Amino acid sequence: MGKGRVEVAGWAIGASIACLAGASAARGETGVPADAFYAALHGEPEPLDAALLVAAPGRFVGHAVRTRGRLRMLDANALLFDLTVGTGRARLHLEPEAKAVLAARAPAWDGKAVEVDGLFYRDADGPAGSGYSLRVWRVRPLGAARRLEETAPNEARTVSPGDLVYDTRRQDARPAPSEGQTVSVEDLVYGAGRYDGRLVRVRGSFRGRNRHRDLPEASRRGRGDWVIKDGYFAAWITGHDARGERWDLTSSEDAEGIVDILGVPTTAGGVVRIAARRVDLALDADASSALANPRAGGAFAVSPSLTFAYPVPGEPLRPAGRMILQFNKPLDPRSLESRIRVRYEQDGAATAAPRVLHQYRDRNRALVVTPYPAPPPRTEVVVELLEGIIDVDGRALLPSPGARAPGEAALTAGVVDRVRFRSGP
Amino acid sequence: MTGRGHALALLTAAALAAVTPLAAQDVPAPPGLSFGSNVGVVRLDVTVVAPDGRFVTDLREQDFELREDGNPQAIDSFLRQELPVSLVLLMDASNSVIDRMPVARAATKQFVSTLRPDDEVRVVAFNDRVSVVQELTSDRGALSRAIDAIAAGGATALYNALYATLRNLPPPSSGGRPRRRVIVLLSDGEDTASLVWEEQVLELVRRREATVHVIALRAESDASNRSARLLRLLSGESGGEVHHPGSIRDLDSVYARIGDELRSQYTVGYVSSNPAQDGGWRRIELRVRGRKDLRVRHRTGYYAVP
Repeated sequence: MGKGRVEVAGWAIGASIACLAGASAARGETGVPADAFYAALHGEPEPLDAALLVAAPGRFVGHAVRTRGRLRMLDANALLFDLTVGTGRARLHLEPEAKAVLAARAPAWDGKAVEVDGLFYRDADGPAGSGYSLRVWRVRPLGAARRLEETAPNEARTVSPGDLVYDTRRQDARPAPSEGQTVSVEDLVYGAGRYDGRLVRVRGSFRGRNRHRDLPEASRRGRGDWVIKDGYFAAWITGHDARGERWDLTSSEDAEGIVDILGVPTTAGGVVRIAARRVDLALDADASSALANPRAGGAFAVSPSLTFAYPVPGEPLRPAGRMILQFNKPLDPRSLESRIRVRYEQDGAATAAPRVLHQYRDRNRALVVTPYPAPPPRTEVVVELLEGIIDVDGRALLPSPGARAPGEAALTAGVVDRVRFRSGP
Repeated sequence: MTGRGHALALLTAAALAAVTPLAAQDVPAPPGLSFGSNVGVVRLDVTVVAPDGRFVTDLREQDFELREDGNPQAIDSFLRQELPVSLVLLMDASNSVIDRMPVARAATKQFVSTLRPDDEVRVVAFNDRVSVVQELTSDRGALSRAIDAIAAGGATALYNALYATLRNLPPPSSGGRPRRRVIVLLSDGEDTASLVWEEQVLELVRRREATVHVIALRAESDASNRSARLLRLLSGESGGEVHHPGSIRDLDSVYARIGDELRSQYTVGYVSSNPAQDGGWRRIELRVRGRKDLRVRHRTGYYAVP
């Protein structure tokens, strides 16, 4: 997940961010909390008495809710959970943020009271007799589980969505060298998750701790993560230190070394992470020639542009006024700073230029834009993306097909793209 | 007039408008005319299929048995006539269908040419972005040119496309005359790039009066469980169907069957005996009395929203 920034920050917003960051760190999470992204997508979670949810579930279908119940672990390996609420229960489908937390905590929290934030929906695959599920992005312990948490500070280590799902430290047996399908880094990048969760072998140049910025630094999940590269394509290696003879994460001399990785990849927001089970130096004579040469074409020759905006046309903004812009490629989050502008319009005339809080989310290539103060009712909200926004390859943002209004010759100087939203009645 | 009486009056007016010849439609529609649940009238587009796959078109109102949440309901309006169709063609134009695009274009144009003159079509193409390549029109030439102009490439943001399409459906009536709203999705069903979730799409389809037909451009056995499940639920909840053409060459026959179905449907309207508008989900079951061999498809329910 990317790092949030305040573009024209007032003290209040700055303080809020500091509080959020502090709270996040206290929970052992990395980066900015994902709450803003999910709130933009589904609305702020509505605090809901569990009894009400059980009594009239149909009323809350499609709503973001915050409710409490008892966690019941059905399958530790598959990370399958129910939340029991009185006589009712709902299946939990975990977003990566919640999955990372529960992967680390589930044994201790099983049977304990928790509070969850999630999207409540009807689900044909839900627990028998229930038919309802929660898509959960946040889980917090209550009561006994919380006390356990507080008395075991050493366990509150940083958890990384995607990494702990395949936590190599819990593997009892080292796989035989013959295991794993051989794939290239390009296969993993282009595969759009096809190899996720499967054991693969992959070869690449050792690139240290992203010393050459092959990947957006904001996509790093753990301090010890390092990078391999093959041609234009790079991937994070997690869960296995690159230490030993000839290994030095900071030395430039090792940058030419070729390594073989046996591990399990996950893909999020166009970024591949491989939870390594085994790392070897490739000592065969043709190791280097096995790697692809850099090419001018391929996906990385594509320039970034806006592909989707939420809410969609015809759908009003939620009261908080958050908007999500999705791009075709991962952006460099640093380039977004001071390059997002919002104004309010009524009857075609600008009425206000609110402050802007933005957060970039690698996983979905999504930019959450929150104007402050929120737009008044029946207001046109215009978001402008300014020159200087680049993707992870350094390519400049291009305008999307809908950037210009019909009959409009050109956008204002310095504006690359523009999206319009409307607040509700 | 009671709420139910008011709703029935609107329903009767709508039914009359539906069967009145176009030339006689100078009488303005009653204000607020709608089949939506917001006026207490629930409308169902109903397809009845015989065991041999034929559409059954000769049933009468009294042949049907209607229940809501298990409680019997009186059918207040029953039509066996064709209604004009507002159709959204949602075409996957991502990299994964690039080799099948020429055949898909040809079959889709052929399908469009078989629609009735008062049917209207909107063409939407999607890859990692969603593009309305032709707004709602009955101009067959414009539709044909728009379909020809679709080029494939890029990732597949299927859920984004469905969400945007469901949010911007054509109006349920035009000139006081109700229309069937249908989405025909042509895709390999593998989402690789969406922002919105499948649950959001499913939830939206439950809140819309539109039938979704899916033409899945991959064998049923090839589809991942997740995408196969979504396509099945999407069509099932809306009263549509998932079609699996044996090969891309079978597209013509699949389209022909969809066209045949659109001309073989019943329209059933009723006012629920449950007046509570509590936002809850109401499950609808429609059966043909004494004919368990017949399969009846319609949307599976609605939300009782004020």
